[in-house]
Amino acid sequence: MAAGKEELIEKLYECVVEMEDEDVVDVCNEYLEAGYNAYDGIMEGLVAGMNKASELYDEEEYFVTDVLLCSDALYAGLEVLRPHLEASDVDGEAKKVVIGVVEGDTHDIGKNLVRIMLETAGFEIYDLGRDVPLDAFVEKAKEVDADIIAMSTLMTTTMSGMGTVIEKLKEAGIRDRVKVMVGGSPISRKFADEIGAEGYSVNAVEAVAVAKQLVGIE
Amino acid sequence: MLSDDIKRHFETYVDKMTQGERAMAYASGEEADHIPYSIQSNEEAMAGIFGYTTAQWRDDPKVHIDILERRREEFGIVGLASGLRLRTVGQALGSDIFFPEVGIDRVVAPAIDNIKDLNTLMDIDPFTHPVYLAILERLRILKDHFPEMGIGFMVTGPITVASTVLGADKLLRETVKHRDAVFELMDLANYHTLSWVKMFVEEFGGGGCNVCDPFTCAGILSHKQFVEVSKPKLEDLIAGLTELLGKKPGLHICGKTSPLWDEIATLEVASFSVDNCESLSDAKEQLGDKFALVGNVAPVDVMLLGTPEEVVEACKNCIRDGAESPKGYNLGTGCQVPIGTSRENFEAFVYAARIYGAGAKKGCMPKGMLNA
Repeated sequence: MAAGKEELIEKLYECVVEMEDEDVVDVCNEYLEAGYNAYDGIMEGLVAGMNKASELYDEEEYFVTDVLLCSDALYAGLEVLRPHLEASDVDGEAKKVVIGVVEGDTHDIGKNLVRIMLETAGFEIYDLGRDVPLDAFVEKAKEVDADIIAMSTLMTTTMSGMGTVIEKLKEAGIRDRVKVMVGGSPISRKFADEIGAEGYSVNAVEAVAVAKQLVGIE
Repeated sequence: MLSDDIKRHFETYVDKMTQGERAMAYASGEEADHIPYSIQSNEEAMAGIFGYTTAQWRDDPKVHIDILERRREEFGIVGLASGLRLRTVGQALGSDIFFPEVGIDRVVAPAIDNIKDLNTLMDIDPFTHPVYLAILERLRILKDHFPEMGIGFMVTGPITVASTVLGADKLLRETVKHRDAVFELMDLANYHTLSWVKMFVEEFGGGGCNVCDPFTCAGILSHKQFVEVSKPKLEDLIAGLTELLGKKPGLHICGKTSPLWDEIATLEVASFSVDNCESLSDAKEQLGDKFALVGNVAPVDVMLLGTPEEVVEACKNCIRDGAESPKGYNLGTGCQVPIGTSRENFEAFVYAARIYGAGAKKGCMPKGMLNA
């Protein structure tokens, strides 16, 4: 007998929490073959599982490696289920975040964690990657009409690039349309204030709260 | 006015001990003229102060010599720094490293994409590798010019080296999926590091060594990963260095480390340099009877963005928190001092070490703090 929808959703959830990036593909296929709704599988199974992983990270039960492995399972599952979303599932209301590691720096673990957490929290992410030219943040924000630009760096030598992006946003005349949040090991509230960034967070979990607050999501 | 005091101080101050004499006196429990101090990896920032780019400092020995001469003349800071930087072994093993005109080098592409390709790196000979030989050659030039200066050198912890060879995300995943291969990679890292140190010792006879291992911090590794993956190989490196040098190395881990202090306490190191995100007084309580402590003036908020008054205040606070640590304390920055740090803030740091750290004795509050 085919497994019930709730049971499979529970399995999807567990695959993410338990970091099963291969099993999750089989469960997703089984879920689709049974004719269940892809959106529910994503939101109640995969994303709920990733939210649980974030919670465990916040409680220091999980660490960076665990979150990365959970996200591998999340993305492996999304790859199977996403093509089966219906047009009505995508409401187009998601807030948009352009994210990247600023030019001159290739350390991207922190940025990747923030991306995973924001994506799971429902933000639409445009990940520019690492060592991102400063103009690219501005161009992408204009192109997609971003709500937030999120920048990170681990290096003291590249921090100033964040301030330059803010200046460039002013020059481009879109400073008042986009919020800026910054993070990374050498970054502090003091530095964020100095360059005029609205948001600063010390870690990836807090970054979600900061992003939500910046765009007025309860 | 503090700025006038500092100006007068630098015009009239004469060191009563050399750096070596100071370190020796302090280590043996005698009173030193002032507390030993170290402004971590300051040559890049000094290059900026003297009008040079990082690339000029890196590529031109004459520039390097000029920076060291002027640093001695204008700040009273001496010593030759050398060794294997965070990405040096990665570079020798084939990672593509970009060296910017101004700024710190970075990994563009790791040497291998897949841990299964590790065997392709096994035949690289450290003893003939131009990357390592070039570091010794630079040191030769510096030592010829400054024969009286002692050499301090850094090496990099094995898990940090591994992250530059495989990439950080992949390395973390492989600590779960292919742990044995990660150990092989870390052994290879230690083999290269210790081979360089062997060459160094054969030519220069030895020197103070610091292991820098940022990837080992609690912001990246769990306690379990530290114990099971990083620590055993870090211990191998520490033992190898101690054997080659005849004395224990120091250790610096950038970032959060307090969740690991119970394990760090068991490492056979001479000193531990505490990042500014940690409490120095907590470190004194928990680690102070194991080894000397160094730290932890904030590099960004204080050294780069602060005023000289804030630098002096931060130094006083650190001395207050750290000086009575039973195995000794060196005033230091919590991590590398950033490029762009002003001359005035360097002067304020040195001034604070000499004035408030005056009359320093291991385990005791310096006499200079009576004026604080």
